[in-house]
Amino acid sequence: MKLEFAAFKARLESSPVLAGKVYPVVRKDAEVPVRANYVVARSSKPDRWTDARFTGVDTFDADRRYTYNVRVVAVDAGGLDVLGEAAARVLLGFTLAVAGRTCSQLELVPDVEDGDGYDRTADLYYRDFSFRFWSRRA
Amino acid sequence: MSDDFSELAALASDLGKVPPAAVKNVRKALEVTARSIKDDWREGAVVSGGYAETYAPSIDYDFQPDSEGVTVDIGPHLGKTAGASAGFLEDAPGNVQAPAQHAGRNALEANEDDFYQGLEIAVFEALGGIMEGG
Repeated sequence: MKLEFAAFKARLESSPVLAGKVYPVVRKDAEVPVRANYVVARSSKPDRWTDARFTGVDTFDADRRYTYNVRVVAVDAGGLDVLGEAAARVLLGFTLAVAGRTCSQLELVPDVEDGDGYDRTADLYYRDFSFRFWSRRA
Repeated sequence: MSDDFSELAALASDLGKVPPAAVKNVRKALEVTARSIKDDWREGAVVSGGYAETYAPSIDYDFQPDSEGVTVDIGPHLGKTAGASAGFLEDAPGNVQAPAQHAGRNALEANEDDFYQGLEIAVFEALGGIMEGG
C-alpha cells in the first residue's frame, strides 16, 4: 500500500506545475482554508483485494485495486483547468513502477455526479478526479 | 468486467436485440437494480455528509419511453425537493473540505454484478418460455 501511493505521488509531483503542491489534506491556517493553488492526494486502502480464486484464501500479496482521489484546489476557475490538466497529463495511461508488483495503466474513473465545487466562504474552487489501477504480483 | 461502465453501455445496446418476450422480464430486472441503486445512492449521500440536505431525497428513478428497448434514468430529480440540484456543489456542507461526492458511482459499482445476474435470469426465462411454447 505504502509503495503504490509513494509511486503515485511521485508521478503526480513529476509535473512541473504540481511539484511541491501535493498535500494530504486541504490546507488550513488557523482553521481557515488557505487560498492557494494545489492538489490534495492521499493514500487509501485497496477497494478490491482479491485473487478471485474459489480455492484459495487471499493474502497480503493478492491482486489489489486502488482508486485514489485527487482534489484540485484553485483560487480561480481557470486554475482548475491548469492544475487538473497537469495531473491528468502525467497520470492517465501511465504505469507506476512498484517493486515486486506489476501495475496496470492508470485510468480515470468516470464520475456519475458532476465534480466542480465552489467554496463561497473561502473563495476557492475545487474539482475531484479519481484515478484507478490494479497492482498485481510481479 | 472492466472497471469503467463501458461494458454496461455495450450490454445495454446488445439487449436491444433480444426477443420481444424478454422485454417484460428485462424491465423487471432493471427495476430491481434501479431500486437498489437508488437506495444505495441515497444512503451513500446521507452517510458521506458531503451533500446538501435536499440531495438524497431527490434521488429517484424513471423509466423512459424507448421504442427499441427499456431505459431507466436514475439520479437526482430536479425540482423534487426544494433546492435539489444535479450535482451542483456550492451548498455542499464543508465546502472545500467536504468529502468527494461519489455516492452515485459507488452505488452503481455496488450493483453492477446484480445487474448482470438479473439480466441473465430475465433472458434465460424468456428463452425458456419461447421454447416451451414451441
